[in-house]
Amino acid sequence: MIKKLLLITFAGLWTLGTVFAEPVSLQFWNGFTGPDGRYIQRIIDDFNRERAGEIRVRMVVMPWDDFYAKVALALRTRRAPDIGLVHYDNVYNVIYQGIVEELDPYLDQFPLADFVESALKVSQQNGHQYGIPLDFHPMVLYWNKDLFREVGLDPDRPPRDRKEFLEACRVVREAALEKNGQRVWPCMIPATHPNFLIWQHVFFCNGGRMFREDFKRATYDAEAGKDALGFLRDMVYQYEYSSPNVTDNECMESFRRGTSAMHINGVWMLTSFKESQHLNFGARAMPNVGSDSHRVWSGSHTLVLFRKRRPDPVKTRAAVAFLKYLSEHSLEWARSGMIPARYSIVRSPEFRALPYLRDIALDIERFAFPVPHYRYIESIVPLRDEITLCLLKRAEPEAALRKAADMSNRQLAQDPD
Amino acid sequence: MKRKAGWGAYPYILPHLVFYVGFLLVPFFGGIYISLQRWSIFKGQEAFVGLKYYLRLFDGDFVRAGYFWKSLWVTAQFVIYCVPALIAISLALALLLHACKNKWIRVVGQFSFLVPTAIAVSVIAVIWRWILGYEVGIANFFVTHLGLGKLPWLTDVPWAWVSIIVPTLWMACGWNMVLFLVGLQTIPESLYEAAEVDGASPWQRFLNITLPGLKPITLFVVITQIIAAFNLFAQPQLLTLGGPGRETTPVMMFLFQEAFEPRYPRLGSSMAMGFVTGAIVFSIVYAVHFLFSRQKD
Repeated sequence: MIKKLLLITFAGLWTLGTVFAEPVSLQFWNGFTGPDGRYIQRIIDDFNRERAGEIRVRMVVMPWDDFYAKVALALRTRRAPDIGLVHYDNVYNVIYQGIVEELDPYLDQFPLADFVESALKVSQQNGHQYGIPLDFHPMVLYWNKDLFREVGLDPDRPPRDRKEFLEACRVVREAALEKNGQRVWPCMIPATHPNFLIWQHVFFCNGGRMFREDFKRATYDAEAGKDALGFLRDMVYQYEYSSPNVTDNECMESFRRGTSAMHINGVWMLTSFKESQHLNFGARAMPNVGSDSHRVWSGSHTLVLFRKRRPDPVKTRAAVAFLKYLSEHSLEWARSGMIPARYSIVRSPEFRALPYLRDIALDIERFAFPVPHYRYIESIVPLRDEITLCLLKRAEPEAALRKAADMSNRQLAQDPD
Repeated sequence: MKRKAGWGAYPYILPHLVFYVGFLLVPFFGGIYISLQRWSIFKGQEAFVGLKYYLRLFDGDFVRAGYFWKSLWVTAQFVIYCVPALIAISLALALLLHACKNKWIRVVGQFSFLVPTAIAVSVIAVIWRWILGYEVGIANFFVTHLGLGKLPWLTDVPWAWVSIIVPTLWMACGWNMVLFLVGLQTIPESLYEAAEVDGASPWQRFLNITLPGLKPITLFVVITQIIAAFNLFAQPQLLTLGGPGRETTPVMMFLFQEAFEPRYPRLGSSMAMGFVTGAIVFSIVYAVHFLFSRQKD
């Protein structure tokens, strides 16, 4: 009898122990290998502290290049990640692959009206929501205030349209400055990545649409596209406002060294520029350098829950709780140089106290994304190639775009697999 | 007398057999199997498609088949530019070091040429990216001091080729030099002495003794270098990003993109392309082997 009692007590204690003492452990995978990872980790640490004994989130970081392949392979194993962070242009791919959970049952936990609509739309398909947007990373115009002052431009007033932009470039070029024996350029246009993103920004400002609504034909070779490509090419060859043949890396270094007056790149460069000594700069969402209404090229990170082979409702609930926490605390994330996708945070006094980001977020309603579609990435490959060739003067804008669009169209008509 | 090997011999080959089966045979046949399927790494096997992925490579209208053949041509160009240069340089270095009588110079020489072999390709690429920058790279600093215009080392062809080949040569010549040095040491000194007595010039000695003596090792170096050159991936990936356009996108980079990069993973199609590439490499290696063995007599 005593033996039996002891056994039951032990069994009971053991069950209680496993149920209550063992927190639900979650894996959160992302590609923030740089300093940005520290900010996310801080939010996770806070979360783990608050929910100690209940939920435990572990972050796994890997380079973005490997991220999708590793996720794909890990999802077939038992140690699959629970939560992930994907780029705006991949959300449709992961939805299409069927590896992310629908979030509809949990949406009542998120104040949807608080999210910027464009970011929320990135992860919607057929009326279902598959992700929660975390942030925006828009295209930004950085300008060197010291150089602006030196050539007689107002250091606190960046150019606001194409005319002002070209005018600022002209003034810098005519000043013919030199720094440490290096010529000062008005604004570098890279012959490599991210020239495509810069082109897309101008294209959006021209009112362009990348593909037809049904995603069967490319429409980027329209006038909006030709003008955008011609504009970038003229920047390099006609006006000579940029050195030709420069890589992304060189454009950044040139701005950091003070040998380019302006720099066009994503907001992701902000932290790095802030850490550069002797660089006195301003940053604003990229102005309207097109002919239509102002839109700003932007990317976005979206939080998703991975679909497991054996779904575990306890884990899913815990993961949703984490998504909610991360989204609500994205102010900390903003400190890494990203713009939160929630109005309540962007409008909070704490966010408004952040230099640079405050100014960039002024245009949050204008942040624009290309049409989300699972074949988007493969369909723009020919366009990326042709834009580069055109900026090397190896092709003419009109012919280059026509060739790229022709290839995109053929590709869209062919098997996706 | 014929000796029959008993079962006792098998345990000796077991370790190799395990690795051979596990890492060669299984992936090989597994790969063939995957290449006949629509296969996503997310969902696994989806549908049997037969030879579809092979046949459509010969469809001139199929966009990704065009990319594939283009990347194969890019790789072939790399092999043509790189392998002969690599062999000439490695051989020249080996001859120099072999001829050097001072032991210390020999050791230091071997060591210093071998060091780049031991550095990770990614590190080498970062070093060269700084050297080859357009605006402030050291290479263009010298070029402009020679009175020439700046060269687009990383962004435009043909210079992008130079940027891929020079670091590759720098990286790979040390290893091949060591192989040639080993080969040189196997040639008996007496042959040279006899030739010298017969009044052969240094050039004649090189042509008639050194080169034939190095034949086995040369065959080995040529074959391994052709295979290595076909596997070109990291240098363009890190230096030129395969650009401008697709001008320096080699076949391995394209296969990787096909299988993983577009986030629309096409394992089956990529495998099929891989096997076609493999067949081409195998034919080339076989042809080289045939040429070398034919010259024997």
